[in-house]
Amino acid sequence: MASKSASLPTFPRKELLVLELLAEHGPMFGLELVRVSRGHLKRGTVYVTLGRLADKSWVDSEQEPQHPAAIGLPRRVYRITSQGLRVLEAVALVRKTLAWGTR
Amino acid sequence: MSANRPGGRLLAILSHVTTSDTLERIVVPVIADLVVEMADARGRGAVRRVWVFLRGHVALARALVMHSVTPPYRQACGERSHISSVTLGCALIFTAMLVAAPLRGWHEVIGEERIALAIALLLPQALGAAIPLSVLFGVALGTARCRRSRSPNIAATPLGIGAVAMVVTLMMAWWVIPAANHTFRIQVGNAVAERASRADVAVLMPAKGLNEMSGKELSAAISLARWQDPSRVSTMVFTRHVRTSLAVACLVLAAAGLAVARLAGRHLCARGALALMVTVGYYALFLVGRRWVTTSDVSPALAAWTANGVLLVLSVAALAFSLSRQAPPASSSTTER
Repeated sequence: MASKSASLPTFPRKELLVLELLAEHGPMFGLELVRVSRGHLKRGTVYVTLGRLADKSWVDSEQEPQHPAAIGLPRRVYRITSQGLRVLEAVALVRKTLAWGTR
Repeated sequence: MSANRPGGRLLAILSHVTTSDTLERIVVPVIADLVVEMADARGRGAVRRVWVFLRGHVALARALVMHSVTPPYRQACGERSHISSVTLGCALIFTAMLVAAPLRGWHEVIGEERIALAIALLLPQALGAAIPLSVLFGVALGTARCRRSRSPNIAATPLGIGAVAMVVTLMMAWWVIPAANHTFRIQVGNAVAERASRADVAVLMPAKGLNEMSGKELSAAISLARWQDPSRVSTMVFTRHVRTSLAVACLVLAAAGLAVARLAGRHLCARGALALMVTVGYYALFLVGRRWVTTSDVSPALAAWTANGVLLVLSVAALAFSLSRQAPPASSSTTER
């Protein structure tokens, strides 16, 4: 346990990627996230990652307005929250600091 | 939600086996994406549609498995539905794999217009193997990180799942799979005849093999073979026993899954690797039994039940060893998270 607490905090790669994509492209559906990630996010896992981010309040979502004649189920649009943006900035700062430290 | 809407039926089925949280977060979005992708694939050919269909269902199964091993889900729904969900997810994955594998080679033979029917006819056979396997992997992986996974009480849920799977597999092995196999052979025969422009061949009914006979037909064939061709009787009796032993394997594999869970600890990879070894070992024992029947005078019943017997003995021994090694808890705090 001691070694774990002494190590640097880790940030799941996929969660970071989702935050970066939402910050870059704006609100998106889950399937759009899969498409713009160029294979880094999978259909089967993107909603699990989005769920974890929603638990942390870094992402929120709302149901798309659906036309009464539309077929299929309503989809959810996901967007990064202000807290998520701050986390992204903090991660960028940590990365920059670590990169400076290793020079 | 109406079942007539695209994806509505799948949603209705899953709403009975998942929590409302899982439904809202995982099931509805993935099915909504599947419906959108199916609509996009319309007009792009049957192969494309089948590919999108299979990919969407594998994605759903994967999402359910991934979601079910996350802590909030486990806290929300408890271990019983957790193990059931993992088993269900494994069943979906194995079924998709077992259906997709033969289709890759056959879609050119049977033609694009028959692919949907071929999938429907391959499903029972795939489920016959996927259900026992999913019990093993579902129990082995589903009990990971469960607080009570080292308690004897944990056995109730896997054995309950094994019992339900046994009944379903028994019905599949005796009634559904033979009928589906026979229909599949007719469809393939017709497709090949049509390709060869042989309309006269298309009306021929292929003779039923052992795997296409119902229970009653198999018994009648065994009685007939005792008089006409005694050398085939052993193989036929072996086939009859295998149908029941395959179903009972669900219970045996549930016990094996528990043994795997106890031996491998909390590591999912170790559990998966051990479960894979159990699968290979079980299949090897089954092949040995089948070889005995054709090359020696060993009883067909013994040959068919050897794999179950050996695996059951090993599983009970492993569980007993694990229980004897487990130290009594010193305090109320648990060793597992």
